[in-house]
Amino acid sequence: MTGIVVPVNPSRTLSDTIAYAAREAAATDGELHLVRTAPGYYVTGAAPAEVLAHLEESAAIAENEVEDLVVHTAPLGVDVYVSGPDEHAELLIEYAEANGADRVIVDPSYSPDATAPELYSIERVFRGLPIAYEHALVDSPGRIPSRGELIRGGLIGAVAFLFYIALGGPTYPFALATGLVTGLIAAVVLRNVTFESTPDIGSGVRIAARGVVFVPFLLWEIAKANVLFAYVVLHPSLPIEPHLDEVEMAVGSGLSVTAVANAITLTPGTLTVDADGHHLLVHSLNGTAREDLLDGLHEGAVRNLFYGSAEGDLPGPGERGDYHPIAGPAAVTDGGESLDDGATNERESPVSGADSEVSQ
Amino acid sequence: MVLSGLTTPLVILFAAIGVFFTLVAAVGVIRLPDVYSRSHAATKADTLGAGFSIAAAALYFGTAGEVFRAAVLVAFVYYTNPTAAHAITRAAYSQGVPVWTTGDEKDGGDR
Repeated sequence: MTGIVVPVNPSRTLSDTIAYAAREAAATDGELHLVRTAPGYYVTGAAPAEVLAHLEESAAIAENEVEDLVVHTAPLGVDVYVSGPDEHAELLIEYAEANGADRVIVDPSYSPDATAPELYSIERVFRGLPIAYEHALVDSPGRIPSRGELIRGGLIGAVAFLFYIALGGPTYPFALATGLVTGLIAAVVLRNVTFESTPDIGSGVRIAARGVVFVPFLLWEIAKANVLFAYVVLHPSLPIEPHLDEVEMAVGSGLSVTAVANAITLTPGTLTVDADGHHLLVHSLNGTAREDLLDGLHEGAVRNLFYGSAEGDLPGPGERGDYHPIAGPAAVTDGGESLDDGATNERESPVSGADSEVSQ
Repeated sequence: MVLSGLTTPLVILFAAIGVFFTLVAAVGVIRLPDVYSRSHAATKADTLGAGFSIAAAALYFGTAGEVFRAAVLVAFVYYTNPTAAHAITRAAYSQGVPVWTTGDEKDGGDR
């Protein structure tokens, strides 16, 4: 049995790609699989209705192109958090293997949730994986910017211009003129870099509104932890108890992972050493700081910020078992060596891909 | 800019708090045992130190433009500080620098 997997995501060349893949599938007597990777925060296990509807539309295009073609559709990754093209690619490969598909046909303008193929494209990931992938042979979309590009570029330009004006003085005509030019350059250069996905004005406003609560909360935590830090450092016996843990954060998308990682680092006592997708390697200076981390203090706040208060109410990584001690006092690693790889811990390792990296 | 009666003590207070936390950061760099925990001190006790120092400056100058610039300055310190800490410790970690834990000899962590 042969099969072709096509990852779908709304783009101008998508219907041509599906039609091309349908013809290819018919020519090789195989089946067509249309899959869409979810952007990473649907932990409920069910894909949102719009994703399912889009898959249905995609299947209709393929069925119109070639009659009697077996078309499967599937949302992928609805019960895990994915961030970054490699995790999307992993889902595709897993699906292909499980369903006996041997080819991947990629829409030339495909990008998972990240809209910066210039920075880290899914092709680069596929090149290192044992699967045949190819671009669909479709007409290139040309140089006309898409609606998404216009929205992203417009937002960047507006923010850059306002920032410039705020610093340069709004009454100074020269600053207005140079500000316009600067904003335009920023918009053109960064339109596919700054955002991960085209921002939706409604959710952007909601996030900004929640930020009004988040920022003072973060500042308060920073102040509180700074005082504790001063106490620890100035105490004659230096009461520290460092730990290093790998923690899996329940956030999708690069922006929210960055927010969690930076919130962790900004609160003294915890420090993000490395990040791999949403697995963070966190160094904590003492037990209190580590408890805050495992209770989901930072994670909860960021979930609140991005997904709203209904979604913020999740047990912390400690309670979920989404962490993995790498170094710490013997008591924490369950009697093992302090620099043990953590395998003796009572909780099973929540990670697979990052294990090789974190071992000594 | 003439300072009013209340601003002067506030400026002094903020500057003193800023200096105190910056001092704590310096002491922390010397006292803490390994590169990871030192990085906590070097890049973060600073956040409050720099925050209060800049707040003192903003209060002292008092004009809207200066306050805005000070706020931007604080924002950038808060963005770049974690990045620097992250870059330093990530480099250390990928070089296999061991993590000091209780039970190890003090000062044995980063040699």
